[in-house]
Amino acid sequence: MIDSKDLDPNFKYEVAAEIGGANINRCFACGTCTAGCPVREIDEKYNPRKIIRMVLLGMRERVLKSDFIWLCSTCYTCYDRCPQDVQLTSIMTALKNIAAREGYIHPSFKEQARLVSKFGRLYEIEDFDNKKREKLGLPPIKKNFDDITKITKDTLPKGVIQ
Amino acid sequence: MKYALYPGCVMPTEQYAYEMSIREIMPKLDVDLVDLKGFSCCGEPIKSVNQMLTLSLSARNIALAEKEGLDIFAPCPICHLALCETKRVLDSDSSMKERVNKHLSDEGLTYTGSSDIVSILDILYDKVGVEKIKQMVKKPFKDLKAATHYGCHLIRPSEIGRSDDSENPQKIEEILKTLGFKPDYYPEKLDCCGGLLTANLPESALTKTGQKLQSVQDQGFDLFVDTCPWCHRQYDSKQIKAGETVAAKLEMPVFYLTQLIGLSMGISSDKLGLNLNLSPIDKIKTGGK
Repeated sequence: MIDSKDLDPNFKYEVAAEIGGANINRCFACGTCTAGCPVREIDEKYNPRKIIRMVLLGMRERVLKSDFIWLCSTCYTCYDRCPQDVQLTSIMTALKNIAAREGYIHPSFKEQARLVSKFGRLYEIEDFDNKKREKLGLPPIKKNFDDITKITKDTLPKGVIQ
Repeated sequence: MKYALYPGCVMPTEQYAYEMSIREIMPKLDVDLVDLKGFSCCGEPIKSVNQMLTLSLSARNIALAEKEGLDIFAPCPICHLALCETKRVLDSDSSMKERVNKHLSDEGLTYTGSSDIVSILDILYDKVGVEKIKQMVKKPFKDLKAATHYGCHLIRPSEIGRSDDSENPQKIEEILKTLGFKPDYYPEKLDCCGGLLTANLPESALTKTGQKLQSVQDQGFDLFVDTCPWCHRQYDSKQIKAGETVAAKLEMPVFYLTQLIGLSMGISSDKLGLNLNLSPIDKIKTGGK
């Protein structure tokens, strides 16, 4: 049930103002995105056409609080095939960026953000890793990314990392 | 040809065989690889959380190579996409470039846009070329039907400039033919491996992997060839688990393209990290079945 009182007509403009969000209003709901989506194929919860519709209708809360915006595998099939160049993968990213700023963030992404800001990469390089690499005849990875802590601090929304 | 090798996160800490085979074959194809100090994550995994962070991290990595006057070779298609997309955004939007460069200024780095970013296929197919690879083949394979898996980020989104056609990529097939393989089409060729769903939908991720491998196996392919460390982890390292999710006994040999090139050049299997492949690769030998 959709109650028009709960809708935010400006939500689509908010999304359009995000990096990669500009083409949201072009969607004419043909469903090419959903037809080619590998996640939709195995999980009914994820339906890109429906998500775009919800945004255009202004269902701000429901979209940002939802699990489903976090289910995109970023395969870019919809992005590539969309006849209106809506750039869906980028729209999903824009939606997740807004959600993260408002404190709705999937825990696994929060953890990835923590790892990258702490170690400069998704997997920490320790002496153990370099010893393993040495055994395989690979050169050591030299750590030198103290400075990215500043980049992560400047860019990540508050509360994502302590 | 000389490139800064951008290792990314997964290849240098887990998918060693990819890195080993790259470091073995590239010098033989007259490609010099330079290791730079200070590369970090490309930022793609955290793009969902904040895109400015992704742009800034990618720009920082590119700036490190620019400082040395080198182009970048990014073997991981996900890193390659992040770096290419950043380059595209910053080269076309000067205010964004300015914002990003502010984040880099503390380290004395500046993104200018002077370095090119190339993928594994850009190097092998477009820079080195199949003719040169052909000249290096000493021990060709014979009569083996190969299925290729490009990996989503290597071919999509085409708008950003990817390494092959997004609907009908053929460059891996062309390379495999020079090694003696018989690559063939299969309807699921463009399907996603599911790897990037691992963080929040681990079961679904494995289902995607299992479904694709099962259909490849059912269609009588002898081996499966990929070029992405995330995809390879799904198809090779997690093959048994992936089989369980689709109730199939999967026995599909999975190789990095670079491992097969190395084998056909006569490079020993231990130097190509073949003992690190977890799928049943022993049945595939140079010289045929």
